[in-house]
Amino acid sequence: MSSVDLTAPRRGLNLADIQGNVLLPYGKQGFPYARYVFLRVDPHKEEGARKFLTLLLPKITSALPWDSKIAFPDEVLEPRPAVAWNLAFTFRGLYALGLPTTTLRAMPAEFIDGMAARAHILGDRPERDRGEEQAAVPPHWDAIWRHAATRTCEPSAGQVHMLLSLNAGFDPKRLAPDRANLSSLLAEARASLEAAYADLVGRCEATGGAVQIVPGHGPDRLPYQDAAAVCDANGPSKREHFGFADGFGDPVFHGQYPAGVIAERAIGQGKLKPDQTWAPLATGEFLLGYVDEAQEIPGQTYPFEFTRNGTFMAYRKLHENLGAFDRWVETTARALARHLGLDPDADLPRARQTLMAKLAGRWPDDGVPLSVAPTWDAYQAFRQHEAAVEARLKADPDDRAAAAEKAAIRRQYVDFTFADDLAGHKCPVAAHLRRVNPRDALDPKLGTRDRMGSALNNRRRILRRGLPYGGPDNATRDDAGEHGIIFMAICASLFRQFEFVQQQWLQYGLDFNVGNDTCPLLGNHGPDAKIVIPADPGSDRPPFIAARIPQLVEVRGGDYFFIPSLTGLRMLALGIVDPT
Amino acid sequence: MSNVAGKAYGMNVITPMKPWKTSLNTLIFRFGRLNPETLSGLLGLSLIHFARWVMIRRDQWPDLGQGSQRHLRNDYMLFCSNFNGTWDQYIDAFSDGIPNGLDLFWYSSTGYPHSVPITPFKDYIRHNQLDTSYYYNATPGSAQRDIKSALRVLPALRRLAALHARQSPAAFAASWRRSITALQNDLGTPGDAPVASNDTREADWNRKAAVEALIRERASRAPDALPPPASAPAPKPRPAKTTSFDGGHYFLTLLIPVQNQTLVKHYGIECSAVQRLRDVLATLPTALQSKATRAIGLNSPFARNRRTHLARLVVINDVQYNGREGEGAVLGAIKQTSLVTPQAQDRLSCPFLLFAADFDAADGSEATVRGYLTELWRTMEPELRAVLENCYGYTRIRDAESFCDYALACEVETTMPFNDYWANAPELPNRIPGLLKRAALIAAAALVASLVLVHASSIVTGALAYAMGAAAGWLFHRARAGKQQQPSGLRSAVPAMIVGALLAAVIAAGRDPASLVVSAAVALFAVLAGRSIVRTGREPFPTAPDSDLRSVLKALYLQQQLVPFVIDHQGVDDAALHAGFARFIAEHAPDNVDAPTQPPGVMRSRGVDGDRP
Repeated sequence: MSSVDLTAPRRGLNLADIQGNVLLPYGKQGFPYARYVFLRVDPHKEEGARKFLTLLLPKITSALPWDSKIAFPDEVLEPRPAVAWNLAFTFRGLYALGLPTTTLRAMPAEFIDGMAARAHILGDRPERDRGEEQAAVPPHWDAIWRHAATRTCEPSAGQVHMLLSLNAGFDPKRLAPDRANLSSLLAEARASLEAAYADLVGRCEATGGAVQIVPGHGPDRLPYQDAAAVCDANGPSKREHFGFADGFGDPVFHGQYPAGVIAERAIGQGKLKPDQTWAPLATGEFLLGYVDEAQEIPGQTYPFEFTRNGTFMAYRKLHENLGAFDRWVETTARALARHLGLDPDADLPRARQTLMAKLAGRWPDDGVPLSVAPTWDAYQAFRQHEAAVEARLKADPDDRAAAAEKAAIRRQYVDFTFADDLAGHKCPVAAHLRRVNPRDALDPKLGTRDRMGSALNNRRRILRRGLPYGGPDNATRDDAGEHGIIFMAICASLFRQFEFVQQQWLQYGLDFNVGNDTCPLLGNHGPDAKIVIPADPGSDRPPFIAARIPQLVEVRGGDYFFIPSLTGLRMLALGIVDPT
Repeated sequence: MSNVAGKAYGMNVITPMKPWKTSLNTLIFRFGRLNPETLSGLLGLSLIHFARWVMIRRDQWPDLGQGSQRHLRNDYMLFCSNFNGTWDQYIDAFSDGIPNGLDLFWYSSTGYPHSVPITPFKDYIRHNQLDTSYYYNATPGSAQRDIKSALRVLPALRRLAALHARQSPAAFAASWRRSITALQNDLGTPGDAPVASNDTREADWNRKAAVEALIRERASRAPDALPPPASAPAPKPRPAKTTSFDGGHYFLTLLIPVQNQTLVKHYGIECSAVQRLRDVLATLPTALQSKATRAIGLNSPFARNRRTHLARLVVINDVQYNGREGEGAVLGAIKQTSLVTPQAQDRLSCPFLLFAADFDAADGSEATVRGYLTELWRTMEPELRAVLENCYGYTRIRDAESFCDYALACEVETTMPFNDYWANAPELPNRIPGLLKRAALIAAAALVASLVLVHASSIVTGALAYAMGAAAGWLFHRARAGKQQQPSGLRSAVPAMIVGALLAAVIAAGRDPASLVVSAAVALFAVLAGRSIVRTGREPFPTAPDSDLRSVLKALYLQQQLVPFVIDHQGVDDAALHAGFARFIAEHAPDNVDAPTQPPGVMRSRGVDGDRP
């Protein structure tokens, strides 16, 4: 083991204290499988629950790098785990564990409420009708959330107190160049996930009821929620079930990467400064106890040791109506083909891909951004160039010019702004990608000399984590099947970041000048749901309105969690959280 | 009480400032108006319907015989904003987007912590904010951006209607394609606002039962006997040009003293007038701005006129105290300040009711304001009486005319109005350089003429002497201002400044007459520049096209008719488009501003959730 001062590493972050799921997504590190297990603590058996936590502590995966991660060479201190274990708590969980009132009362209001109680804010349920009494938890939510809004944490209430997430994978270096051993590696990963789950079940049983698994996921009321990357012939892919390549944009913040690479990583992913260069976001946007983009350390509960290096997370199960999506895309793509002067039958694949690209902001097959390749022809040219560079690299892996070109191409997937596309001729202003991360589009001084970059966006960013569920063998593609995305958003303030993006940018359109029109993919769609696909004013063709979008995504449940640091977890386990 | 009316949030912030700073802050506002680039960030954020800043000097709190507020130690700045989005969103946007401008506008406010970092700033706003007791929004389903979009649709449809009459189907189809492409990012849908908070949503539903009970009770009750009339208050002198008028809108600000001497009867229970007033305001029907208010089904009395964009009534119980004012520890030690002896705190002698309305007006004349007030009285006398019977001087109100007299006696001039319903941003010139140049030219001419007469040898000495004199004058004023019962504002400092300047003049003249001349020229420049900025800054901005409420409502109506028409006519041939648009013109009459149109105080022209307005 090399000697590294863990308390003051060069990143400015104590990686050994931060849980591993916060810093980087496991999915991008070769962990295609996940199992989310929700646990409940018997408040009358608090001691047993704390013992459970104490015994679990060594299993929890920190952010310390292993050798396949981007790291300083001497940061690599841990072997890569077969399964990553991570733990988070609901407010009621912290209450059941006996946290002091002084600590609990200074928790953020939205975290105390929990996600079910925030359903009207998030757009997870419609406003009630005259005379209608609404159940506390939205209907259609999985049974596990039945008691999520009950204002008690008595054992009978069956509430969720903890989320234990297990992520399983294999070391990408073990994959043979011809990928012949792919299926055996995947089977091995699945087996290690099952073994980890069996381990967890045994640990819960050993508590004598102090910690129990809460069942109730999906129509079969399973005791866990499984998720997995959608696999194709090349193995785990970036696609979700609708068919969109996903997971390109993710904020980059100070400390997330080693100093040598972070400037490069921040391009297109960090914040755009007034001088139009990119920089990493402030650490305090994603971890508690650090300076944030408002140039302060925001108020948080005492003791600081308990919250520092911790953060908050929204867990959401998003069901996808694949049948409705396929039917609407088919019909609308034909209308779009006619509008573009194409053949509605022969050119249907092109029209379908164009429509999907205009909804999402990226070409669906590979995620090439519309801002870089706005037209079908530009997209084809981009792909050909990319393929040619790949071919050159395959022929000669040491071709440095080709490697540089490849790096430039990869950067194009994230390095773009909207200043030159305010009207959305390239990427519609209401497309999903512009809503979740408007970059510089909201700059109030965009047209003037002293531009402000992404100032109005920097305090609304979220780290996206999660995987599709219901795959990978999803042949039926109907609405009723059990399939969608387990979506997790990590940020320092759920109210200011996650809820804002969800309410103001996905379920509303004011900031994009589209009134009440919601996100074409994730939004609530009433009878007049639509997205305007703007036309190039230089052409004689008017804009195309993709209208009557059906409901594509429905929430099946979720909650807000506090992800403590390893220090915080240890304090919880020992029962020594003391704000005095 | 609700600060939310559809997509608008009504914010009121009232902050204390030292009287000598009031004129300085007014100068900053005037400067901002003359140099519109300083407002570019505010315009770029595009989230305010109407906003205003009102300087309330100590002697300006209306006195209807209940007593003056001259005992106050501070002047106050009232800020009223009608913005879109949630409170946090708005303050965040201010702090992230226009922090420098914000710090200038609150420059004179005592205890203002600066807009960055955000937490102390939010704490300060929250601490000095007054909740809106009653809030009316004529266009609750449309934010300011939505209105600007609709105002781009309106002239485009008028143009298309004119072209339709004389173009062939093919030529019209080409015009249509060009127009719709130009409007392609102005085709949003109006509707309910996102929930401001769980608490706002629940209060909205909970209030429904009380409002419905009150409507039933009023229907069954005989009208109250009117009180014996009293004589009308003396009219207050009005400035020839008021800054309450701007860009075709009048920013009416009334501060009405609330009776606090005797108990009143309310539902057979004795209570204070301010309690009854709050109850009346809480149950006054708002616009049909949410599912709960549509379930009540009764629109606001303000929706009976088509001039009021936004209106609010706010009970000002008292001015807010921001805690002990600090001074440097060293200064405190020298002055031997006792930190345990409380500082004097401002208290109003009675509560005030703020009435703020933004209405369409041709000019800022008294006749125009009377016209509006008369229309209010004619259309909502019972509601106005239910409010005003809790106020001092109510017995003076006998009819529309005496109501106008009463209201005008309570008016405070709006210092800095702000509205942006410009569909396309106008080019407003920066007039500051011109004004400064003029002042500088005059001062320079005076200087040159004087220098010819006087041998210049020590300019620096003169300038220093003047600075010392002015500082002495300022300190002198500070000492005087420490005592109470001062006339407010910079005016009180003027004599002290003159004394200082004379002192400097005497000293300087003894040493070198030239420095006196330079001092005089610099002073002349400052006075001329300041006067011309304050005067010229009073001039109203031009009126944005179609920014009156009737046109706004018509524009919103047409936009909502246009979107389904566009969808239904995608891909049809030129003849079908031409014929279809003929029906569109016949049905929706783009040239008739009054019919068909959207009524005031509803979410949208077509029904929402099956609720027909």
